[in-house]
Amino acid sequence: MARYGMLIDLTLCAQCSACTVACEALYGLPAGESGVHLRSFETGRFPAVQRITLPVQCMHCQEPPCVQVCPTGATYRDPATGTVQMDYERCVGCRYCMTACPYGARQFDEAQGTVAKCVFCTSRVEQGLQPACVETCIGQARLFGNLGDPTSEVSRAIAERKAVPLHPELGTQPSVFYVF
Amino acid sequence: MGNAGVGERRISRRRFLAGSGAAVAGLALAGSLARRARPGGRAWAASAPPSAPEKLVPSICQMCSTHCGILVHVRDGKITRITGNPEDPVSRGRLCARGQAGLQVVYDPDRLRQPLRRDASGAFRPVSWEQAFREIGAKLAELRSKEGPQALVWLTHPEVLASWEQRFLNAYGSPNWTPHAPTCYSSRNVGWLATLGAVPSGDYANTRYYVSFGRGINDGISNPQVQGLMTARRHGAHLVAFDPRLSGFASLADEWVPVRPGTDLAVVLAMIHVLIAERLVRPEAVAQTVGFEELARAVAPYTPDWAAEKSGVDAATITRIARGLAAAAPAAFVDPGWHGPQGGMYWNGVALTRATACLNALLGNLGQKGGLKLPGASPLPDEKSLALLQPIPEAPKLPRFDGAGGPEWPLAKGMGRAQALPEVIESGKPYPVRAVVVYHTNPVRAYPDGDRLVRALRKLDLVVVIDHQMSDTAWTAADYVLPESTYLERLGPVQVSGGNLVLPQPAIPPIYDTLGEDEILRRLAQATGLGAAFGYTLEEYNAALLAPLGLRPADLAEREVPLPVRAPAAAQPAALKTPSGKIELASSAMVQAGGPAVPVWEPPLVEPDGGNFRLITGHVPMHTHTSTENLAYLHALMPENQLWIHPSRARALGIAEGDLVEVRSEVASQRLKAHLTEGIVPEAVWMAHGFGCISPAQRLAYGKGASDAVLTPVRSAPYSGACAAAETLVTVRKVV
Repeated sequence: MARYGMLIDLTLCAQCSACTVACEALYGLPAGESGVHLRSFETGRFPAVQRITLPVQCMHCQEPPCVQVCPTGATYRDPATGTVQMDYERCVGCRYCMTACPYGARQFDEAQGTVAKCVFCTSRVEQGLQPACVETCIGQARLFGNLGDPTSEVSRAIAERKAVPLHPELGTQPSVFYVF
Repeated sequence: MGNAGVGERRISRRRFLAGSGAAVAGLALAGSLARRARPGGRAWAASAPPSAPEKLVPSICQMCSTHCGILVHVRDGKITRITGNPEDPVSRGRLCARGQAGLQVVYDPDRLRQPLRRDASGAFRPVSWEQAFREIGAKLAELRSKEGPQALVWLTHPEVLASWEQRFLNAYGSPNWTPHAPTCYSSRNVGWLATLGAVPSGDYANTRYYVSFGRGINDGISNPQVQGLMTARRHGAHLVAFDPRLSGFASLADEWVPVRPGTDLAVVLAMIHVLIAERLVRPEAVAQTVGFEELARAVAPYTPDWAAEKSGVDAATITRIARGLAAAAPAAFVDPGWHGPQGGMYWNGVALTRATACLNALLGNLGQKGGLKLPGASPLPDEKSLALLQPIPEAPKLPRFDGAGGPEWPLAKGMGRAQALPEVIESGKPYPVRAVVVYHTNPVRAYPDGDRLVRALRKLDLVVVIDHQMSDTAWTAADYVLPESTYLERLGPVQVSGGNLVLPQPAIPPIYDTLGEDEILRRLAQATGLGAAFGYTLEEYNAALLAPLGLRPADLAEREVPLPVRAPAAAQPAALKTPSGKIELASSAMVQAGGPAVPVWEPPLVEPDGGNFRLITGHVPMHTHTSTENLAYLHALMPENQLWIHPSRARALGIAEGDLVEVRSEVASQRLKAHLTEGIVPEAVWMAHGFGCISPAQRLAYGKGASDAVLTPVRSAPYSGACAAAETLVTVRKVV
């Protein structure tokens, strides 16, 4: 049993959106429907101003609120990988999961009438490849691997760089960690 | 201004965020995380990558001038994806958003598909290539005999086939091959050539202390330099951004030091003062230079307190950063610059570049690990030595239309002064210009005062635009629009990239009735009666370039998963290409051009008066000039630009976030939405370069955002002739 996870080190993120386009291009998605989106937040007053730019995507929670509210079981946690996946045949497009996700990581696909999100590129990972966003990241800000193995590169980096998930207090146990 | 003491109140991103998990959580909860779904979508699980093998074609990205090595994924004759080539030392298998979006250059539904000619009603009608060449060639030949060859001006970017364009003009007899340099890097090149005899780059990956003045390597993105600098950061390098606004790089750096626009020069001079006054310059660094005593005398009055008065950066910060550079030297450098304040945005750009060069010289970092490095010599033979290219048409002796390289602008040689074009057309001086060919540049939205340029171009006998999209220039002014095959559909000249020889080769055949620039030049030459100048193809040209190295084009092309051929080791010049062979802190070339021997303080040309603003501009990582706004992926990332304005100034003008505002300069006005941010000096407003498309043929980009270039008056900075675009004052009002 693996638990796939990701580290996004914002001190190395060039804010270039290469991850966003990598996802769109790999999956042939319509422009703007990527699984990763950059969000910026500004705090402080001139000249003590800080702007944080945060790539946001499905956090692949171990306690995913989206799974709990899904009435059809279309969204589920895959125990083999620890990822949150979608069964599009079962999705009825009710969007409860979008409401439940505290990270705003899900989006509605009007054409399909279903909800879509980052799938951690599990089909690539099975072939020994990296997720597309990790492969192209020009700052090497992203690391992907097995959080279940404390000796994996991603696990060690999370510990060494003191990476934190978003909203740990919600008890969702996200699998995406950030270095601020 | 009220921003003196900036440095002492600066914040460290790590300190700001330390223990702020709650604050971070609060940010992430902000409502802007929710996205609106878009119509026309398709589920991505259903379109997961098929397992069928793809053909991978190695080539070079041409979405900007960095030229990263790419792998073009082709399945069933269609490009499905572009990724970085892991074997290429420039991209190292990683690509920015633009590089990956390159396939949309091919499949953009608004792309040019056939040659067009404007008819008497002003509408474009399809025309055959044969007819287009015949008519354009006849006109050019007639012009040459009636007005003289100097009546033709060629405007170009990105200059991949520059030597072919120059050969065409030499054969024709016109001296007017004109790159985009003055809108970009003219001042940087003039300053560095005077000091070092070459424009250096930085050893980003190994630096310990990096300082940028207005250069945002992840704003006007350079993939290999970002990769290098982030590697340095992982090893603990300290990154400092001097910038009037909180740019992408400034928000990423260890410290952002806001500086009043146009005053970077004062800060750099004061840092030189600190290094000399505190005896932080090693004798071996001084030994590489000439003019140290002269420089020391000149900077004696430029104390940190003096610079603080000018720049708004407090003296302690200037002193601390100068000491930081010295302590890390020689693995420390101040970025040589590209397009920003060193590049020629300000009147004092050459002085700033020279001061930057002197500061680096005093760090003794030239050729040192983590310092500056000179470009290597090209392993390719000099074109003049190739039998295939004989006879070489001689460069015409006529003066240029813009005076570059002449008595008034000796240091602008080779870079031109493209912005002079409207005045020359209007006045007929120094001689009438009657025809313009535009290759892959968009002067009416890239050069200053674009509306004046449109009016001028419309007076000409002939305007030909070669592009793959209906640019603003094509739409407003072209008589003929010649569609070029994209870089993914055509062969290119052999390139030296990252110390390797690389062949830009087509991944697919052209999908429309388009031609490569090489073929356009050959056939245009034939139609103009200059066919003898191009008695060879691009394939033959590449073969001739490689033959002296014992290589054939096939050696570079015939690889499924490519391994670029390592170029022969480039010999470093024994001495610098300056008159003294040393680093010229005091420059004889500058003195000959009427300048000061050593860099001294020069003020910016204009000062905002409290009621108006200085307009500053810059690049963003998802767009390249005006060439990418119509590509769907990149458009979705940033569909329009906004006017960054400090909230205190906005409030006084009754402007709220998202309000439509009018920005007016002495030459034009533009409308765009306001973005209120604390991340900008209150005396300036900022907008991203490249928007405000006026070509309705580009349906996504049309009418989105505003053009910065249109607002810029035509100016030419001293020595370099750079456009000094940031010497523009504007008023801002809410549109009601």
